[in-house]
Amino acid sequence: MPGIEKTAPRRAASAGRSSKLGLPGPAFALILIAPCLLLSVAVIGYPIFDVIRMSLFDVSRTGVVREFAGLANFAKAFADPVFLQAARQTVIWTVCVVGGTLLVSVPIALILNEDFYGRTIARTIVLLPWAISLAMTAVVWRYVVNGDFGTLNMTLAALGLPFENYPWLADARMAFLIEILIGILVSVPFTVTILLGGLTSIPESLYEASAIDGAASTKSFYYITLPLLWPFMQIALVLNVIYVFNSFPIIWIMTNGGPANRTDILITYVYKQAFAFGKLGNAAAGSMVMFAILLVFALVYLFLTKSQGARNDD
Amino acid sequence: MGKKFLAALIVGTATAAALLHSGSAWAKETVRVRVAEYSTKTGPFFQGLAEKFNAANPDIEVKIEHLPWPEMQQQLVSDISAGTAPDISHMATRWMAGFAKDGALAPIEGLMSPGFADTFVPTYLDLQKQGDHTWGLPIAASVRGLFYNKKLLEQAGIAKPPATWDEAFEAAKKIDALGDGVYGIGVQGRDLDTEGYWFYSLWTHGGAILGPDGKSGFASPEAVTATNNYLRMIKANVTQPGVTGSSREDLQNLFAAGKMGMVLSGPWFNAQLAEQGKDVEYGISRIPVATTEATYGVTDTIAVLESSKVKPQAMKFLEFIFNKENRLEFGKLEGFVPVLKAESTEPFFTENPKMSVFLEMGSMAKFAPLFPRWEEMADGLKTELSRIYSGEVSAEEGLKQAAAKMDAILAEEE
Amino acid sequence: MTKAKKSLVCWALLSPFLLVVLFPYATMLSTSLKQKDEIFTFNRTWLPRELYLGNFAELLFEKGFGRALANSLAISIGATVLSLAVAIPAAYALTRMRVPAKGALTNYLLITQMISPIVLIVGLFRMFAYFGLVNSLLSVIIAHSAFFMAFAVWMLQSYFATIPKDLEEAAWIDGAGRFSAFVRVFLPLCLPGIVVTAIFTFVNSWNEYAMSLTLLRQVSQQTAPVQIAFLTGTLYQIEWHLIMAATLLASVPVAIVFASIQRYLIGGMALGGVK
Repeated sequence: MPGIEKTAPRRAASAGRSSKLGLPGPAFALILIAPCLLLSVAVIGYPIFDVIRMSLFDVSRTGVVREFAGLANFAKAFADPVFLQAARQTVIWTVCVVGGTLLVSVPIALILNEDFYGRTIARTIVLLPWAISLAMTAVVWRYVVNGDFGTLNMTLAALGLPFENYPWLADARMAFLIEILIGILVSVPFTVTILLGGLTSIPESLYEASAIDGAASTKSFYYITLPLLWPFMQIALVLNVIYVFNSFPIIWIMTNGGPANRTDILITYVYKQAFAFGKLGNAAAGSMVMFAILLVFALVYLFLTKSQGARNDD
Repeated sequence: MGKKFLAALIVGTATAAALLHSGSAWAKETVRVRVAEYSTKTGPFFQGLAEKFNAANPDIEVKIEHLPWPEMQQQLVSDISAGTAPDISHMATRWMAGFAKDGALAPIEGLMSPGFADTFVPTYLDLQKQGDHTWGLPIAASVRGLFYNKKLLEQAGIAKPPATWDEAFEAAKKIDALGDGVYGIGVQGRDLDTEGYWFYSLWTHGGAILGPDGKSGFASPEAVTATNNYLRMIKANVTQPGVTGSSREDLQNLFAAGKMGMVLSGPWFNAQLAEQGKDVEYGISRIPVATTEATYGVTDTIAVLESSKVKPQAMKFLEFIFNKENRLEFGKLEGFVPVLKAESTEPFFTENPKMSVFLEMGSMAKFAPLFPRWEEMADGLKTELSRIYSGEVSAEEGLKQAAAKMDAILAEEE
Repeated sequence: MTKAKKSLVCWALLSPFLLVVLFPYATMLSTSLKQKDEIFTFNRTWLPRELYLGNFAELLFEKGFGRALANSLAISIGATVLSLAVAIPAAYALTRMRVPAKGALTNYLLITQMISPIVLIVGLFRMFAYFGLVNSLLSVIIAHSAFFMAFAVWMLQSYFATIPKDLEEAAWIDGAGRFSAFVRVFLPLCLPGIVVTAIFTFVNSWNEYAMSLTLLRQVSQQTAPVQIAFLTGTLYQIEWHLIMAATLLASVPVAIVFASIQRYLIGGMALGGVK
């Protein structure tokens, strides 16, 4: 994957020594890779083909592929104001959740990397959101933020705050904000784990050296920690963008895209088109657009890291 | 990537050819029945029926699968498209038209025993017909009424439940004024049946979903008045806070907790109140009226699929489900109104005031139209209602949008 | 700063986040100990009327939630084993050998992660149905492996890259075959990384919903997340007391795993440095 492309020690794989030892050639390598590739292509290949086909054909609500429709499904999607609205909201959703996750995760990872009493407990608690599936997290939170019976208002009211029966999900902006916060909450464990891995790999000696040089700890953070952590942040960024962009359960369960489509993102839009409205062709076209957006993102990322990698090689 | 798809195709096709025979493994006399759950009791109830039926019919084996409602459409679509659909499936009647149009359902008028169709209350069976065919049977039927909390009404000094919307508004104001976290009347603003909650007002104000010109009636003057009827309650703060965040279930929970004076709901709510709202003393009256008496009637359908190879056996099981004894048990369990003529005279329905009111209203029930693309029209309406209730647009403006969307879909369908 | 002081500062800084994490757990615990008629009442309280364990009993003995947990366990273990069985050789080849079109391969794996399984569900189901593989735990194991394997390959690749080649090469010179060097020298060194990858795969599979729901139609085969969803999906009332109890039960095994492999997890990640 991209992070690896750049950083894996390809240069270390010295071909000279390999041939001296009479290593098996590329054919053997392919045999090792084959099961992985076969499994992937066999399971995911056909469904991808199916989606592409449905996006180009007129499809009945029961999945019967009728005549070729060209780009009509795509035209319909782009003519639908709700689709465009959902696309805009998907960008907001992804940027806010991924950005927020990194902002929250970096300090948490830094703290968890310190040596303090109860660190194992703290680390376990930070990982806890990961122990429940997204759908269930969303179900539980829907109950937590319920205006009249939820535990959030119960607690806020007990603290004397004016949230006796505040309806958190009634206003679209507030509902979206809550969904974003929950999105951040569930993305933190994964991100912190990756960042912690990065932090533990920074040799202590580097800090000692900088301490001898009299550098302040903020300085060593900017000049040592951050640059060394950057590749890990990149990986977290790329994977989170992919996962969050496609993340379905939180929004679906908490607001179903409402009120008035204000919290719809592309994946919930596509799901509604397919399974509530029976428009499988439109849904497939929407899925292809989603895929294209992620692909462009990945290409831009690859391009940026490639050029950066080239610089590093000099 | 193209090569990889090709490879997948080749691998897939080759393997498929090898496995073709093992693919269709459903035994001949097995009838697969899929039901959706109204409550966690639904699955076990049909399981029990199947066991009884299987014992009496050694040549047929009925297998019950039960699913939650939110997954029904997705699963049914996946199944029909893959050729693994059950023989009998439960569905919302409003999906039926679409599935029938796309050839997924089997017409059953030729499969039914003579006289069987006559055992139904005609209104409910007629809803399962489209074109010249009957596409299913009404497995559940409900009409809606006004649930009111007797104690709250009494405290607010209201002698009898409101008969008109103006009375309802006045009553809601008085109940809401009791304070202490009590709300006057519930208005639903999200999820399943949001449009239904609006229909109560639409129809009792003399409006219609489809106007006399065959175009959407969403933006008619009656519809605007009907919407403003709810809006005045929202603006006067006599509803629960956050109408656009309240689903049907939220309203029912508020009522069951004794926090809401009045709510419009259906007979199933009796079953929930018996468990959850034991302390709430309540009565049920007809839906308040402005110009016309009406209520919203809804049925769910159980249909035989076109792909079934055991249609007569499937029909036999359906006729078993719809015998009087089994229907009565189901009605008592889940709280639905009778769909069989013979059921309608049972003391359970006629002598229980909490059921009889629904029987009375049956004759004035109106229904949502059976358009294949009704879900989309209803969704457009829901979106606009959400905007109207939150005060973002006026009733006129929002309803005009909803009507335009419905008309566009109607035009596309022709 | 003494360690005690530092600990205080660390906990203080973490506390807002920890609070948000624990809040839903507290909600789950509180609600799962309540009885049905206590959930929606006029006066809400955190504490249940009495310590009521009936919900857990109902789940395990009447609703067969124990069986759902067992199904989930079987699928997750199966998917983890299968994923690793194909990912380890692939990752090894990608880090240690010259592979033609290596970039294309890793990019392909990334691309498979870009399409949500929800979008692919109809096609996936059609294919499995075609092969008569519906209603078998094996089909879910295969599907999960195919979707989660890419991440495993990527993780393993970064671990493998950190293992010095010299050690293996020394073993080869000592006359060990490439395979036995791989098993005796390479694998033990990578064990932390493999364990971490296994945990990631396990958790993903444990929590997966859409594929398990679609591919398994018999109640006896349901996984834990699917069964919990079934409790929420009834039309007229949601059984909150059971849902909260079930969610709590389903998260406990994973939480215990997290706690017990804590050191391994971080240590493993350290080895898997992307350098």
